[in-house]
Amino acid sequence: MYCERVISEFENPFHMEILSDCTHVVESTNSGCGDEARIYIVCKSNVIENIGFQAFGCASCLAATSFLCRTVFGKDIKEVAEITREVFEDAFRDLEPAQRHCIDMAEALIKKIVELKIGADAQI
Amino acid sequence: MNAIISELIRSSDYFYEDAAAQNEVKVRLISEAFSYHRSRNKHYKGVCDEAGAAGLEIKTVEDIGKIPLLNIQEFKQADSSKLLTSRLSEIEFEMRSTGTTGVPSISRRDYESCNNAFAYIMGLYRDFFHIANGVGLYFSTSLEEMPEMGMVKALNFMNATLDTADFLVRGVTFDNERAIADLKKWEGKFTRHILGAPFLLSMFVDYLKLKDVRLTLDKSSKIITMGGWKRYSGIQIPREELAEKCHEYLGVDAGQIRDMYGLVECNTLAIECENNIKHIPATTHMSIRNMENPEIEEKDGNHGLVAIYDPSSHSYPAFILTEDIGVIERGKACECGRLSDTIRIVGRAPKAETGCCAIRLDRQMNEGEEA
Repeated sequence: MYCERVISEFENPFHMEILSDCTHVVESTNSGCGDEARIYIVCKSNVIENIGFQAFGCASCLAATSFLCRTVFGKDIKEVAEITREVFEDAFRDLEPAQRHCIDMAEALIKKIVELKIGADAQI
Repeated sequence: MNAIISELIRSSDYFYEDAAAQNEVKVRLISEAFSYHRSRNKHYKGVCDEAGAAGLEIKTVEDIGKIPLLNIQEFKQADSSKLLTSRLSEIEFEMRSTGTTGVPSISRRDYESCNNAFAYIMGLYRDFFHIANGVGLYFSTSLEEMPEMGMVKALNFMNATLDTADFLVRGVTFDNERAIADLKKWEGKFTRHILGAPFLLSMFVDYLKLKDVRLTLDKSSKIITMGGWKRYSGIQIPREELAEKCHEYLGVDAGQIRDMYGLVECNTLAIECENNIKHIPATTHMSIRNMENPEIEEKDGNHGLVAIYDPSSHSYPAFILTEDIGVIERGKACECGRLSDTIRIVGRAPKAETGCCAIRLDRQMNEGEEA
């Protein structure tokens, strides 16, 4: 039922934690199934220096959010803006149809991170 | 744990056996399940160690109450993956329930858990409802719309024995006129059954009253409800009043209206007999816990938090402290012939989220109307 990527991210999630020193939080909810993901970002000088997440929902939601965090960690916001849906499509290409909503969620989260227009002195 | 499925299939037989026979199977299955999860599940082993249950052996029904419980809230946490005894690669199905906060409770079932759930639920349905044909009018969404919603999934097991079905909630709208048309269309051709959430049944009979439409279902018709008797707004649905309205506008007796109690996280159901008494299968144990200190087991007849010990879960330990308040009677000789423990659900814990599949459906329909 689960592709290798989902299993590996589920069993070894990347920074599944709340960051108390985060500068920004973004979240996304799938109104259909109720999945919810929340990302905690420590961003300084437009660089994502640290990132953590919580995902409430199915395993593919958790895996996609974990993969997103792994992917954007250490990147400049401009680089994050260049991450397209295809990155997730490629990483999770073996998802079953019922699991594909996690790609929508990951794409929405990326957009929200970019839309933060993070500046050097930005604080939540 | 492989042999458990044969006992689950026999669950219905155990209802009619004496307390000794029921207790024997209950203790044996729960003891095996407890040992299985304690030895293979790192998180649960930690829970057991902390509770001083590392060496606990289950030899009597009284011992079952000593098994450490998982709080139902753990299934809603971001780290709910820790609850798994099985690997994710073994999981076949994720089922969910969502309450008022919107955070889903996720329960993950592997091959054996799915087998057990299917056999268990079908066996219970057969024993309580004797439905082998007829039509089902679902007062819920279809699985197509909400494939992982626990209530919808559980009710749809019945579809395997029905001739056809219709689902009255489409999008976020319940179609009263379609329900009436279906019931009229099927009259004299099929035995008509209604399955779904109590709040929708309540809304439907109110609609019939408003339109002064009186229908008469069939003598074998069942109205099977699930999902709780509280609305999203917090208003309690009055059960007796609803039964009276169903009698007047749908032509059914109270004994034809059967409510079921269960959790998405468990494979078991307590189903009402024709006397509207919910029977607990012998292959499951339920106990009542003190509201202030859930480690204390309440005496029979007292109300408190419901704890469920379901040995049919293979992928995670289904020893769960719920947020439902109930009362249990042990070994009740019911007029229906069953000799099992019975449970009455009387409410939700004061600080608990009003939560279940029906509540989510209610909320979505309300939000849809407001939009």
